[in-house]
Amino acid sequence: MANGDWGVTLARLYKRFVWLVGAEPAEDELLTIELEAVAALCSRIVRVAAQSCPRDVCEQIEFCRATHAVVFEAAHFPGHLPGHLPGHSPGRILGLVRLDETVRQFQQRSFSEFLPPGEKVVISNGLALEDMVRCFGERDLDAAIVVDEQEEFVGVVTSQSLLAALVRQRSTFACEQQQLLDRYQRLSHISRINTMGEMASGLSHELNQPLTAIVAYVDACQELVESGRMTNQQLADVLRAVSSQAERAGQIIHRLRKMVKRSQPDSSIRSINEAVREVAALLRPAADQSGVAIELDLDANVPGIPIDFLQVQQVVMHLMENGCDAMHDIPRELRRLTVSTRRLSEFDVETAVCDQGCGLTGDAASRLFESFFSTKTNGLGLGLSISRTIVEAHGGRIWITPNFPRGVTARFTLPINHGKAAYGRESHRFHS
Amino acid sequence: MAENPTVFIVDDDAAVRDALALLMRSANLTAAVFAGAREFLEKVPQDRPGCLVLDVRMPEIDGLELQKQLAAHGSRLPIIMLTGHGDIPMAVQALRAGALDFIPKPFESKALLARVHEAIELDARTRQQHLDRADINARLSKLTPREAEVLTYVTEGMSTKAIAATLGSQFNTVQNQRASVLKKMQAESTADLIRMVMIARP
Repeated sequence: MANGDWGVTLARLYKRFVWLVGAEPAEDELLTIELEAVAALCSRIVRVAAQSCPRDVCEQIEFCRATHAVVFEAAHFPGHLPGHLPGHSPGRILGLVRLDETVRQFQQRSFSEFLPPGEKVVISNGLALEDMVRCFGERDLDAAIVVDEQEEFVGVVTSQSLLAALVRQRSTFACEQQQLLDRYQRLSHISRINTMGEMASGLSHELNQPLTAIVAYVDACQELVESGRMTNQQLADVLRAVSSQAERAGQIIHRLRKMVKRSQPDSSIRSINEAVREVAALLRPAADQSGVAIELDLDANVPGIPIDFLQVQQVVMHLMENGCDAMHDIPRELRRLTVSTRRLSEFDVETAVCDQGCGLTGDAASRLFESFFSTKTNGLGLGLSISRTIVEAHGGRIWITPNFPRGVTARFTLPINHGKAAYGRESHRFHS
Repeated sequence: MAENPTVFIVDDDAAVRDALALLMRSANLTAAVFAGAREFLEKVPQDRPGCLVLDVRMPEIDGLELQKQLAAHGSRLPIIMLTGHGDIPMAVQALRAGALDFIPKPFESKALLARVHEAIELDARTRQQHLDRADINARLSKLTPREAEVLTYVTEGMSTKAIAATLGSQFNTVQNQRASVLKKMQAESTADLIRMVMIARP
């Protein structure tokens, strides 16, 4: 039986069972027989559950969804348990009706005396749920008495309560898995940003060193030469030092360019819509928190294009994050970020990120794509410059235009056929 | 005889160190360079006059840590912290811990030199004050208990007559003790005496 199937069967059985118990509990033999049948089925299902554990998260979620009703009802069904039992099993099942008698007798005699050796099953406290399930399965049990190390009575475990516990554990596990996955994704997003942040701040610190040296060297020379306290030889030495510091700065910048711009993007035919959707999903928690509604308007007819998927996602992420950041100071109800894709021409596909934010003023508009230029108080000024490098490496272009009445739209195009398009559309490319 | 004030430069970058030293020389200042905090702590005796130009970011012991260690040793050397891009939180920390100022790299040489001159002056002033205090305390220790008592009343603005009444002494006795206090303290006037007591008090 497939997992889904037996989950449904179980749910149906349980409903029947609840109905039976809910009916007048007459000393009806028929009722007793039916209850027994249901209990037996339940216990068999527990065995099946133990053997065919759903392997991955999806299956587990499906499994939990299919059996959810069971868990809920089992946990909330007001049991007819005798008061002296430590309330171990939820609901009342047939096995327990028989056990009532057992327990009553057990209270007068010692446990080991009571059961014939062959039938005695001791499930000690702290036994893993899986072991219990296995034990139930091997012995074909409907219920078991739980005792502690001194064989003192602890409680009763029925196949039903065992199943409920198993399902609960599974669903907790599935939830944890999902949460873990979410957290991991968010972390990887944050760490990517942090890595970039660290890289930029490390680089700027590195760049500061030669620049500081150059400035100090030159100013010192000026003063020393003007006051006639420096020989030509000394001056030549310092100039050599200046030149080597300038070279050092150049190398740092060269390294940055190499790091950001891989010589050839690793391209495969992918859907830009998929890239946008994934990034949107990644950003949604943060957007929700800052009250930004993300809207996607993706043209289903956009063809697959040769892109470096991760790099293009990085561009989309930068643009979307910028949009979100720009709307920080506007009324909450206006914070809307729209990402759309469309086929611009037979050559290229356009992606647009439209915000309702503070827009751009004067100087900022012309300097946006400069490295280390940022209008944000804690921005690094690398996002757009990296984005441009990536888009241009793909043979596309990127630009930003103001919206009316507010905000800006950042657009970038990607050619459908990179090789040809890049060749034919060279004039569209900015200097690289 | 006071030693020449020295600009102590601590930076892990050789080129920056070298350039800063040249810059100090161009402004007729004596400079000493150190590649790290440890080297500075090992080579420079306490109480050298001057100021410290310190890079906030260094391997092993960073600028803030060196500042902390110097403060723990009671050093009063003024500190100018050199910070990089995005080091503002560190700069704020440095200022809180008593740095004279911070200058973000790369900086204008004039700005740095102006701060360095200021720091050296400040250092000279605090040194002078410290010297004065040590001096005054030495003089105060020569007073007899009764003279010290008289001095206290004098600084409170009491007249000789009032002091005599309070102490139950003869007017002449108090007058003599007062003269003796002025002489031992090498004070030119009562006002001078009060100024000295103000300096001596922490």
